[in-house]
Amino acid sequence: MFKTIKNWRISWFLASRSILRGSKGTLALTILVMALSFINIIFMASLIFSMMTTMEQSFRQQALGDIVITPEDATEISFQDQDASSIGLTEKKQDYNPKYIYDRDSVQEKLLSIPGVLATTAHYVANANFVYDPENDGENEEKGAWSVKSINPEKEMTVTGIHNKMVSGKYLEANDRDYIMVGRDISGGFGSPYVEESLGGIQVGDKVKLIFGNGVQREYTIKGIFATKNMLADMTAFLSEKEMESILGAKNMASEILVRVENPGQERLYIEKIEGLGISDLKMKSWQDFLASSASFTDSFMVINLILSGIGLIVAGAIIFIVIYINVVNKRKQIAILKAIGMEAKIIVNSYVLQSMFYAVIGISLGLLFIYGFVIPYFLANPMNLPTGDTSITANPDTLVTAAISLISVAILAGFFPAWMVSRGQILDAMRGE
Amino acid sequence: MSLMIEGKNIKKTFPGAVPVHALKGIDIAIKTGEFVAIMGRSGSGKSTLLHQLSLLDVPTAGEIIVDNQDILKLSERQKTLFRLTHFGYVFQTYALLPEFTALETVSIPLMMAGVSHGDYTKKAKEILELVGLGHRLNHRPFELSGGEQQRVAIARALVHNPKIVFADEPCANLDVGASTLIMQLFAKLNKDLGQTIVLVTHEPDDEKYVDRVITLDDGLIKKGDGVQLGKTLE
Repeated sequence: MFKTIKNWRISWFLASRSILRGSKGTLALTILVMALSFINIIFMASLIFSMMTTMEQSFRQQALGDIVITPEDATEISFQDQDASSIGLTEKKQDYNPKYIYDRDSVQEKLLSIPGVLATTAHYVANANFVYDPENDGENEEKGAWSVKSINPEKEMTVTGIHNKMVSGKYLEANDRDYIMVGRDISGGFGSPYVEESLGGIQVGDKVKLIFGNGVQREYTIKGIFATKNMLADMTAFLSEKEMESILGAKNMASEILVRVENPGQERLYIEKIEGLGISDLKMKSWQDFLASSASFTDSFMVINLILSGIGLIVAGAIIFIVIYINVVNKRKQIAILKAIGMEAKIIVNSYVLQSMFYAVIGISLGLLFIYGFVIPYFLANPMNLPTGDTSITANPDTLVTAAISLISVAILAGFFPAWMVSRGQILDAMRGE
Repeated sequence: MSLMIEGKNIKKTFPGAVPVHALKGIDIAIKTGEFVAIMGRSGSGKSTLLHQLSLLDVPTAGEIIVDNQDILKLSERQKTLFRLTHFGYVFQTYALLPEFTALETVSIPLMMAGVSHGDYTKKAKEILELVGLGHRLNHRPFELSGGEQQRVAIARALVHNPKIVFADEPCANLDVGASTLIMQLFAKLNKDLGQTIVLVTHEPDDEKYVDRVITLDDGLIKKGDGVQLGKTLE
């Protein structure tokens, strides 16, 4: 034990002198490479992580709430269904599902009685074909099929944030019967990435005809257009609850109820409590489970993130290995001298491992300082305007830890191998520089 | 006097397209406390012999006994430990580490021997003062002259009281004045401390400092030097 401590002390003695009194240029370059490699990995991973988080949070904030409650045997109303329907103009979405949550008001009341449930909002959900005739002459009609939901405006505002995302016109009111509110991907304006599949730039005040799955046809005036940058929300149109009930011939029912809770992240606990209420024939999912069951884009992002992080780590690892390797190989004469005067090989090797660890730890620390001191505050103040939403950079702690451990491991290997090889070789060859 | 080094039929061949037979069967004996110079023309094998005797290289054949131990039978780790406890080295190019001060350089062998911080600093200072560098303790190699650097190397070689100091052309890179100082220092250490010293040199003038000269010629000991297994040393 004493010998081990003594050996490590000597290793640190050698390493510290080399770090403090060796080439300042080499020291700076090595640490810089370390820091940049770390920043590179973290920046890319964080950007994708932030895009994913932004997208997921926008689903939670704008479209799903914290918990989605649907009838037990309802057909899944999914993001993918709507995406497909919006592209196929002639493919009319007719899978109108008559399964409802009955006695909606009572269910909402019961939900609100659970401690921690902050708000609920109920939607009727239907699909409709939209027809917009800009010239009102029966020619050049713009058509598309989208999801239509009913809202009780007051309750809706307590769960989703669409009222804060109005880019034109006004939010619906409870008594509006002739008005409709549409997302930007239906209107085709306000930076929508789906202009080709939209109603071609329909604006507030324009009239649009809706043909519902049950055959009902009605004409509405666009009251407002919102842009949440969330595809699920922006491909949806809203009618008032009264209007929708008249179309569907329903009363006090709902296709889905969205729930907002006090402690996001503990949705499963709330679901257990809701199940305890004894309301039958309901299916409850957290917003994450709802997304997981209906959309595979998060998985795709995860795969992209994994690949980019992996490549970043390999490239960073290779660069760091080369830089430290060259540094150590240049000191083979010194290693040989130490070995010649009787220093144990492991003490010499450990001194280079310690040096490499020092480079890695300082480089990573500087990288973290840059990320937390500059990158994150900068993008918080100036979020990137991406199609997926306004995205700031958030570092994922898991990625930080993985990248830091990986880079330190690579640095250790890069310090260990050349020193080990030289210390095993012939002293005289190394001293002569052969 | 007892024998410190005894080499029998030491051969060293460097492989290659044309193998070089650097040592062709050397028998050598060096007594404890002796100051021996190995001399000869360039390429005669004198440095190669020193490397074999000092465990810096491994002979192709032969036997080397140092302090009653067959050193060629030691494992790599044992050889390292043997070098630390038995040998001190002075190289032609000084072989100092650029990042270490004179005091730190000389302290390293003591650190490795497990001497405490206070003791190794005290001992290193003493030995540096002995070689005339008491005023240069905190200077690094680039701040020292060639002669001073070599004296730091000598101090490092001596600080842990080795059985033998091997010096491979220690004055080759020094001017006459510095060379004289170094050789006088070796002679003083040999005389005062009874230090066994094996010196490789090509300077005929160095003969006056040593007890005995072993002359090599083409990988063999030249006749007439009286070094046949120590028989003539008694």
